Amino acid sequence: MKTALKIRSQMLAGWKVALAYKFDFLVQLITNPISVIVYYFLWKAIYAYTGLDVISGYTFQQLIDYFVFSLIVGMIVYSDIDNWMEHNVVHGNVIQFFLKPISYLAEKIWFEVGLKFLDIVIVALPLIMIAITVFGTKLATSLPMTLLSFLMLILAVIIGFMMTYLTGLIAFWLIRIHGLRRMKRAFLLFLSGGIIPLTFFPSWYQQLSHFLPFEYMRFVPINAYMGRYSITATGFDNVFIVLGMQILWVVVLYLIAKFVEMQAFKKFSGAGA
Amino acid sequence: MGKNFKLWMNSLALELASDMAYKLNFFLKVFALFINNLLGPIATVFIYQHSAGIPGWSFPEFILFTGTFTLVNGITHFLFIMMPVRVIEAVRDGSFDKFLVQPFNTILNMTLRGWDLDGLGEILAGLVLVGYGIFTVGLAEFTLLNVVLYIILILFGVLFQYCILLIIASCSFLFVRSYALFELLFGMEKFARYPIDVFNMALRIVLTFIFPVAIASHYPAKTLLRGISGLEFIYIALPVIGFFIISLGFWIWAMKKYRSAGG
Repeated sequence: MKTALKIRSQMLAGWKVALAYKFDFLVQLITNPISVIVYYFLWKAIYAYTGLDVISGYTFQQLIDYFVFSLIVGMIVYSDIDNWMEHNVVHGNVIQFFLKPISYLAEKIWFEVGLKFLDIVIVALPLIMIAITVFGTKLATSLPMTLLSFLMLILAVIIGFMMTYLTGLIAFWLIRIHGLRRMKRAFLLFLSGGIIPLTFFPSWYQQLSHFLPFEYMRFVPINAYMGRYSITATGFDNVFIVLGMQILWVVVLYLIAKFVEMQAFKKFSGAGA
Repeated sequence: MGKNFKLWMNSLALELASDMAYKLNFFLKVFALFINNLLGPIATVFIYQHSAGIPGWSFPEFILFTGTFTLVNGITHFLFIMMPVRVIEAVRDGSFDKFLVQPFNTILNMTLRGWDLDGLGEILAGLVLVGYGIFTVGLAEFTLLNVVLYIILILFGVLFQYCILLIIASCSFLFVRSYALFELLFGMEKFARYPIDVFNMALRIVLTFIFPVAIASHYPAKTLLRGISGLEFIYIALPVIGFFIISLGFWIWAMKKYRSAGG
């Protein structure tokens, strides 16, 4: 009961912060469809010019659907928690968090969950509606696969969160990590398949990518939702194998985060408290 | 002129000093922008490997296109991007009054404080991409006239982006939350990421005449590669000049609405 109360208050704090930025969310409501429009015309021209129905395993419609889902998954997986952590360190108010009856990591997780609600309600849902009505996007029809891909999305969020948390912890050493955050964001976008699906990448990288955490943050959950994995296939086309890899990465990243956190808190000297 | 130049250089020195306080972070910020702007072109390599690419643009030509856009963004970022930020912050905490009484033209005063040295990373990436494009297409393909027109159109591209910044800054006199406008107006810039030939006629007209973002990438790159007629030059330059006049007018109108919050 006490834990539930702690979680509730952190989520409420995140929700309140999100509300303060509601205008920024509304702007995304306009800029996201712009991205889809640009992508739509670009790829329409490329498919027509190339004269193929399928490029790198995707038809034109599938590629547009992939991009729409990618925008939504990217938005849900994206975390800004390293920004808040840098702020905590720069302003020296990390010490306050040691007084709270909740761990620093847990505090950040539930704060993030609260922040995310508004994202989903006022950004993701309208985008999906627009995609369905304007761009002909179809939702998945298989219920088990849909449920499984939602589970994968949650795991993707955790993987993304842990990496962002790790980036944020670096602030305990470097203080200002703006540059690092910027680099992290771009690499995660690129390597998770946010610019183009990973099937466009060289095949050696596609093989290597299965063993790295990045594709599990975006590419894998989307393709699971689009029905590209099965329960009978072998290797990394099998849905349980990719799910297992995702879980493995969650555990590994959690352990690394906890280890680095221990070092960071040792390093922290309480200046500015 | 002298006093304005001195203000410009002094604000550069201040910006440099603040970045040097966290040197590693500064180099990472510049390096990050440099790398970030090369990731898109790497994706382009993959696209051209798997398809015929963008109609009418060979791979090196498209890299030249992307490099031009990156360069324009970089120059705007380096020289002007902090201008609206300074205005928004000053209006919010009431210190804008101080700029009004200083012996400088207010727009110029704020503009000369627009430095953001991170932009260097973007400028460098732009130069690398344009350089790659030019040498791969072949130096012999470029005439001196086209190079000169290219540089002029790049400056027009920067001017257009400056107008956007001016509009964002002006909005801070009208309502407090004007940061979201950055996202909104630069969201429109997404249309400039690819050649406007890929869009339909209606969008092409909008992107050339009404909200002329294509001036920041498409027209300079096309001019460098294939030249431009005098008439064409006029019809792509005029909307930008029009946009500049409108945004200046908007600033003057909005500043009249300014009420000091500092009291």
